[in-house]
Formats: sequence, structure tokens, C-alpha cells
Amino acid sequence: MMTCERALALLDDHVDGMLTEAEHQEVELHVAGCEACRKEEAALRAFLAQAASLKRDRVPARDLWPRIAARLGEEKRVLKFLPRRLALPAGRAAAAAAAALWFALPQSTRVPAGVTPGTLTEASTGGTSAIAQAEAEYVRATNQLLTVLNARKKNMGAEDAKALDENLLRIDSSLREVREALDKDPENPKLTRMLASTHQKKLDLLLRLIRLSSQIS
Amino acid sequence: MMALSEDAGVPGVVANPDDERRARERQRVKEAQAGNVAAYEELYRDNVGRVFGLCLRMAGDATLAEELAQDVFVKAWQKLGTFRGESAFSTWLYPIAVNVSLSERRSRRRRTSRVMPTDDLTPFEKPARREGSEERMDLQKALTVLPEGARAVFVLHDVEGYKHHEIGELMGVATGTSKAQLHRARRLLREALGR
Repeated sequence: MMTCERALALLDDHVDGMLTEAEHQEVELHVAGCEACRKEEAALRAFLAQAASLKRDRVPARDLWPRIAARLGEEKRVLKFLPRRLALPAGRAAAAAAAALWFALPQSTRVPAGVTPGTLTEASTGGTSAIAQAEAEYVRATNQLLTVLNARKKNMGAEDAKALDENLLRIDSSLREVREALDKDPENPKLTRMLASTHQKKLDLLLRLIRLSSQIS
Repeated sequence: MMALSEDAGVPGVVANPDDERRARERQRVKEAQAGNVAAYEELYRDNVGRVFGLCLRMAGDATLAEELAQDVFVKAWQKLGTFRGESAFSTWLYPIAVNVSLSERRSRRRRTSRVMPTDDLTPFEKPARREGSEERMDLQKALTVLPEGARAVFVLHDVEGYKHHEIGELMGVATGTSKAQLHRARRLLREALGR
């Protein structure tokens, strides 16, 4: 026979429908014959109904759009200085480096979108040297893009060129910090993942710039 | 009885307002994906209430929630190219809001753990409650005084309808931890509400 203490301990899972059939029936049986537990169950269900009916929409005290629009504007300002059609070799090289880095990384660090699961198996032996090799590929590709950007900077206003430099410096600074930490602790899987995600962030940004630059005249 | 739409195009055909809304939304998404900020503003206006509401419950602080909501819409703009329009825009947007809120929480925890090691499974403080007060704390207010981990799980599970395994993946915790957090959150909230 189930005790009140046991029934109450199972009550949350009971109302969430997460008990086994046997446990569920035991709790039901107990609650049917115990007024205190029946009241407790009713109170819990009423509370959950209240939570589920909380008004989901809340209006912020101020209009957030102007700040958001300004941030979107900053992105577009950087993008508009990219050539409408960036040199394709650089774009292709960046994509190739992304793929190389992707395959060199431990499987747990990868983002699954757009990758056929079957292609992951032969590349699941990534290690420190594999990452270093992939990084070298990546640096070669990004250098090509940076050459294009630097040439383009001559035509930019000082403020926009500065904004572009700041964006790139910020990413490179993060990358440097992670590398330094990894040099001190090369076997640290968290740092490896962080290095991967920072590279991925830079790759995403560069590839996005390429993609979007073709949409912005 | 549903009124006939005057501009439905075909006399006698009832225009479904939901279909019209979805079609308008799809159009706005397409324009925003092409770089049209004005179209994106409309998507923002349609969704800011729900996004801000979610951020507010997750953060427990209106100022922080405003920052988070801004981050959500900037992030969504950056990722807009990945939205294929197979679901409603809101269905695609809300997980971004959850992730942005949880990321902020994780980085704040990393910062604070350097000076004050703690985690959310330490015994919770009781939410403040005025003894004998006629004013009973409402649920919204009680949420703000919950420990943030418990609050996040409660909001995701009991308000937003996520499952424990989904919460576990989002928050990087075991399913059992998510359950334990939820049960504690419920107990603390019910105590605070006197129920």
C-alpha cells in the first residue's frame, strides 16, 4: 500500500504523465482513498493551469526597434563595402577551409546543418595535428578575403574602415585568446570546442558577407 | 457567422484570416531575407510581445529582458537566410529567443562563478513573502525571485511547453536535473503563492 509520503513524491510526475502504468495506477488508487493527497493533487493541477494560462505577450516599456535597427544598420554598413562579386576563388577556398576544419574537428563539435550524416564517419578521428592543418587551410582562405577587403578599404570612409577593422580585430582577438589557452592545456576538450566554435563564427561571418554582398548593391 | 471577405477575389469564398496572415508573413520574410529592413520591422512588431515576454520570464529583470529581446531580433536577422518558411516565423523565432536567454545566463554564470562558486542545485532560498499580508504575490512576481536555473526550467516546461529532454539539450543538463529543478520551482512558487 502506497504511503502519503511516496504519493506526494510522485505527484509532479503523476500530473505530468511521466509515471509507468503501474506507478500511475498506484498513485491513482492512493489519491482516490486519501482526501489530503486528493486536495494536494487538485491544488497542483490548479497551479499548473494558472502557469499555462500566464499571458505570454508582454510589452516592453520602451520601443526596442530603434536600437535593433541601428545594429542591423551597422551590419549592412560593413557589408556594403564588400565587392558585389567577391573573387570566387576566395569564396571557394573559404568554403573548402570550412569543410576541412569541419572534418578535422571531433564529431561532438560539429553543427549538423547541411551535412550528410554518412560523410561524418570517415572523419571522426580528428586530433590536434588535424586541427592545426585545418587551421592553416582556413588562414590561407581568409587571407585571400582580407586582401580583397584591404584593397576595398581605400575607397571607404575612415569611420567605416574603422568599423570593419574593429569587427575583424574582435574576432581575431577571441581566436588568439582561445589558442593561447589551448597552448597551455592542449588536451582540454572544452577549449578545443571553443576554438572550433570561434573558427566557425569567423567562417560563418565571412561566408555570410560573401553571400550577402551579392544581394547588396 | 464568418463574414465574407470583400477582397477574397472569388465571390462567396470565405477568406481564412489565418491564411491571409500567414501569406502576408511569408511575403515579409521574403522581403526581409532580401535585405528589406522595413519588412523585418513588421515581423518585429508582430512578435516582440511574445519574445519580450519569454525573455522577461527567463531573465526575471525587465532591463536585461530588453537587451535580450534586442539580441534575439539581431540574431534572427543574421540567421534569416536559414528560414525556409516551412513553419510560422514565430515557431522559428522562439527557439532563438530561448537560446539567446540561456546563452546569456551561461556567460553570466561563468563570470560570477569566478568569484562565487555556486550552482542551481544548492538549496534554494525561499521566495520573499510578506507574512500575513493581504496582498498575495502573483505568479508573475513570484517567478522573479526564483533561482534562475529553476526559473528557466519552469518557464520552459510549464509555460512554454518544452519537454524535459529538450530542456536538457538546451540547457546542457541531464533530464533528471531538469525534473528536479522543475519540482523545486513548483514547490517554491506554490509556497510563495500560498497554494
